[in-house]
Amino acid sequence: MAMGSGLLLIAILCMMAVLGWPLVENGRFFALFSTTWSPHAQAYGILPMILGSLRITVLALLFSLPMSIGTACLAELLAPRPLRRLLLVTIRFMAGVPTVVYGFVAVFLLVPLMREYLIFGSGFSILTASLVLAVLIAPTMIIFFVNGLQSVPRSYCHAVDSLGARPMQKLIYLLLPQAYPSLLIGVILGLGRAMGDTLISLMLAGNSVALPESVAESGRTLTAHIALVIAADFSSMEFTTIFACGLILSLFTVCLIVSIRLLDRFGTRGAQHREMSTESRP
Amino acid sequence: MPTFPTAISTQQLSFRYGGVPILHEVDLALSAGKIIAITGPSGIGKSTLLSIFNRLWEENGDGRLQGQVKLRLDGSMVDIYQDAYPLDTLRRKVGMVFQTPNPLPMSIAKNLAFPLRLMHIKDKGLITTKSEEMLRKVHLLDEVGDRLQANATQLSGGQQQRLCIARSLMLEQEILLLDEPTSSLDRQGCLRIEALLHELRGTTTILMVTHYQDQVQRIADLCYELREGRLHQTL
Amino acid sequence: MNRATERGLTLLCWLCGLLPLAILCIVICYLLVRGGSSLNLALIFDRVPAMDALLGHQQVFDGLFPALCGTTMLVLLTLALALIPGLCGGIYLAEYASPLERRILGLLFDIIAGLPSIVIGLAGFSLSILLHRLFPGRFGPCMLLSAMALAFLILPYLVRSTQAALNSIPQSLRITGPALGASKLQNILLVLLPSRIQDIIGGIILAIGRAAEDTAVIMLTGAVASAGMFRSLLDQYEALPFYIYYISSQYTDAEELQRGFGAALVLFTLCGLIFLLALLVEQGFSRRWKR
Repeated sequence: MAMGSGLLLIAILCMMAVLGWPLVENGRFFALFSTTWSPHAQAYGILPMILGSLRITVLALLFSLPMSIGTACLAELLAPRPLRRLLLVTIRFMAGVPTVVYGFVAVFLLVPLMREYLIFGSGFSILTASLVLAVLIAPTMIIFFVNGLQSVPRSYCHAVDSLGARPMQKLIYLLLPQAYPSLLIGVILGLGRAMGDTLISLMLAGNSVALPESVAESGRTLTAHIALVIAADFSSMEFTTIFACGLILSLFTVCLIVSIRLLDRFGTRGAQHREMSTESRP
Repeated sequence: MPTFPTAISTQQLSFRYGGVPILHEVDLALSAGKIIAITGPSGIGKSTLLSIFNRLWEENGDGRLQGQVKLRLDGSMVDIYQDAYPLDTLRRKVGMVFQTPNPLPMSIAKNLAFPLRLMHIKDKGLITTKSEEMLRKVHLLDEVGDRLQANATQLSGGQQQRLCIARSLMLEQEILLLDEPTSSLDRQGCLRIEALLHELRGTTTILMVTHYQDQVQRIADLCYELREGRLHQTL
Repeated sequence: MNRATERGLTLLCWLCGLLPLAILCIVICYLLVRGGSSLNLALIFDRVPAMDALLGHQQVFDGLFPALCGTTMLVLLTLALALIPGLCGGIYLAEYASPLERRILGLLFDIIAGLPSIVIGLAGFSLSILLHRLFPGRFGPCMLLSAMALAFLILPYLVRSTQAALNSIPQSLRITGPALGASKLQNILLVLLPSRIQDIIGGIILAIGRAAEDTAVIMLTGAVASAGMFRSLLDQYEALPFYIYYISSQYTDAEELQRGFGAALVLFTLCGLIFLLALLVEQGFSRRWKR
């Protein structure tokens, strides 16, 4: 059974390769990475979408990272105990809030604000999308960060506590350095979520195919591109590019997961080393 | 024989931890510079009892404490549970050593420097002389003096434990809490620690949880058994 | 690091850390203010009497009823497709697989779990094209296709949560069954699974939440804005998340927009309830564990 789903994954990748094959056949594969998307002129460069995806993802990560680390530290250490529980439950709840609801609220709340005060124009921009995306990926990262901080061996915590470290000292000298591999994994997971999200960028980034010059301009991501083009004619070249997008996204995911695996093994090797000092109860 | 002032005193001290009563209205007055052993059946909360004196139990929450706990710190008795007394200061003045040695995953030198680092002391010379002094005190200097940059987790169990004691002494504590410090060591390591405690006696008040009656006989000045929420003096 | 930096960092943590809470509050308040007023029976059933709509006597055109039905059917169908394979996969990985198998399959499931949902939607869509080519006839995007794609989407969650639940069983409990003469299968079914049933159910509920909220998959595999009441598995259908997305970009008048807010509030509440249910199940578990 489990084998079956593994095969299914491979089948999916093959299917995309097959459907995207016309691109390679016509020698247009490398033309894919050109910067112009203009179906009328037979130019199907998806580079603007790749760049759009990257920009939104990186920006979202930049916005989300301080927020996530801050929340994780609060929830694990700095906040009073009852608030910690409340924070954790709320964060888990936020992970379950439908993406489309975030998008919907942002369209009618954030976009007008952006239009009025920050970027003018339509308000639909890479910046807008990445702000909302930052909120969307924060819970994933926070949950991972908290797990990482919690898995620091108790004996170290006792040692540091009994020497009179203040919470912030404990965090800087012990917890963050020790939890470093899981922090990194959390960031990678967040990256994956941001890259893979369709709705937010589709609803908020404006979807223009031109190569954006600044983050305040409209842009299109790979995921949004798939959603937008799917309505077109099945056999057109335009249509086949979305399989290239799909393929790029899949490969990206594979890379991320494999890197997480490698990091994880590195991390657990560290943990085995750490296990030399077993737990002690106060 | 000089009379020592009181170093640890409790009044009407009751303590529940995780819903389990540990202490019930205990009055206690212990003189400074002694080694006080605490015995009792396992699982009765001896370790938790120790953590009352540096408030370490608060890190795990879920405990309730009533009554007064006073310690002699810097020459005067202070109520350590009164709000005005800062938690980090308390813990820097009351050292604790755990059942299993817990050196931090860094070099021996850094382990020793860690408490000073927490105090924002950056004077390299001071840190080095102090480290050496403490290593000498715990008889580790001869054994590891030449490899202070080695990772502390590579030492033997006994060495690790002595390192932890040295680390606790870096701040010149007057009170030391020891939670079965020898239970994870072999006989040789155990005897060395006991010898060390003998030397510390007089300058440091040592409150020690132990399982071994023979250890009590060898080094303790006083011994209490924790039973049904009370401390019964047995020595 | 001196005292002042410490203070500053702590303050910064508080500011950053309370940001998500603030944002969540803003989202909830905004939805309530804008959508709260439209939250009534008319939002769902339009002007059709509720009983008639539920029994199928009358079609609802301007309400959320068809979308709600579509989403419900979709989730049920998805669950029907994914539940058994998911649980079996989890059990296999936790109890039967060799370390090598576990590593390879674990990696595969992690990759599937990490695939953007639009890619899974695209795969479902491609499948329909292939089927269309193989059997020229009527097999386009439809509910069955959506459910298959969604099942594939939540499968790794089910597998992983089941596996994690079984892995967390302490060795002492694990050997109790065999010590009493239970076969491996008996041990799994009678001892191991029941001992972690809350965890497993919690995982299933969270997977349901994911299936209910996903929009990217269904917009590629058969959800449309106005299909009316869903009729058969091979038809296009309406679904709540897609409806919300559609309204956000294509609304024509204030009334429609108002309905969009209502729909967003309904979906939000629905997912909130699902989360609450999962939480309660989990709490029940931990309480029993303490005794």
